[in-house]
Amino acid sequence: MNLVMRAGEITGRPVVTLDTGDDVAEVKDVVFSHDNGFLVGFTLNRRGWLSGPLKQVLPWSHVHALGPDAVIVTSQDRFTAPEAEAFAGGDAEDVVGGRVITDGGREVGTVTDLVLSVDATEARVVGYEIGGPTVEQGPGSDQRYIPLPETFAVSSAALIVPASVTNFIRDDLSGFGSAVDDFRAQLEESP
Amino acid sequence: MTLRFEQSRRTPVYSRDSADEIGHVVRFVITPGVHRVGAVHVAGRRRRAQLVDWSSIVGFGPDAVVVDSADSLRAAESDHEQRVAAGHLDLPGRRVLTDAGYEVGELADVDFDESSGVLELIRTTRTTVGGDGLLVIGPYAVVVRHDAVRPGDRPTEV
Repeated sequence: MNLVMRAGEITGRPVVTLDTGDDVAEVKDVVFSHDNGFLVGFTLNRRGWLSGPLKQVLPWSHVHALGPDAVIVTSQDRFTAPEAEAFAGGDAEDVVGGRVITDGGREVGTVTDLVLSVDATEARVVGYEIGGPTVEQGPGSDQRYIPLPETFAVSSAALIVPASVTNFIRDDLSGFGSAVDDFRAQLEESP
Repeated sequence: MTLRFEQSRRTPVYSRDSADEIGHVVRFVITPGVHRVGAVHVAGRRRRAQLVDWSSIVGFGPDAVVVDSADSLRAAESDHEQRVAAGHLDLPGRRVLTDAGYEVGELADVDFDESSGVLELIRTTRTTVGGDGLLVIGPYAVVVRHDAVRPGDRPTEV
């Protein structure tokens, strides 16, 4: 079972420990690999009146569970120094604002957020939330969701996607997981 | 027989050896990881708030709690006991999270077996959780095992 969520939804989510039941931090930003979109982990903020960035980070491999209401860790000892080599990547700000253009030369929108697919073992960027004039002028809501190909570098300022992606754009995240699967299956059939 | 924490608050506590009323039930100290009441927090008019170990309780009923002796009352010792006695970990209204990161309501009450002190059921504002699913009572949340949430109310886990 996959859970599909926007990166922006995770920001601010409390990090709760299983050994003390305390909210020891909250998610500051979602960090993902530029190479393959896999979630590397989270940068953290302190909670409450001492709020501000924490020097330590939470690698994805140290997350017990990422749920809609909290990120669960076994204990605060699972936070690590960001210097760890495996904790390299970008955050949503690297991508938000970038134009999404089809290889047919049409702009489909600008990136407003990342969409992650999360299962028990891994989390990965599988799509973008897009907005901007191109989306707003079309029918429906001001936000759309666009699936990404399986192999995709999540970095460039302008993102060029296959024109066929327009058939798989969704108005909301319900059913987006299957739109990603269908889009990728279609790419495999007609590379 | 099953009792509930909230209905047991203010139940008078008597000493068996003197038959004196030595206070009333205020709170419950739950032994972490064992899913049972480890001690009862007793307060009285002339006494400072103190704890009595479950093992010193002769009988726990809906109308009275009988302890073997007033000497069984002791001060809160561990950090956890002191926080419970100070009211920092009071259960009603506390957020209940599963270990999969889902909130399943706020804590409403806890059912326990009056003879053993074993927790039987955790009642939240939205569902119930098996007593053996309790993982930790913390300042931010009570955390329970996801698979101990009543099946019909259990969010689909990833």
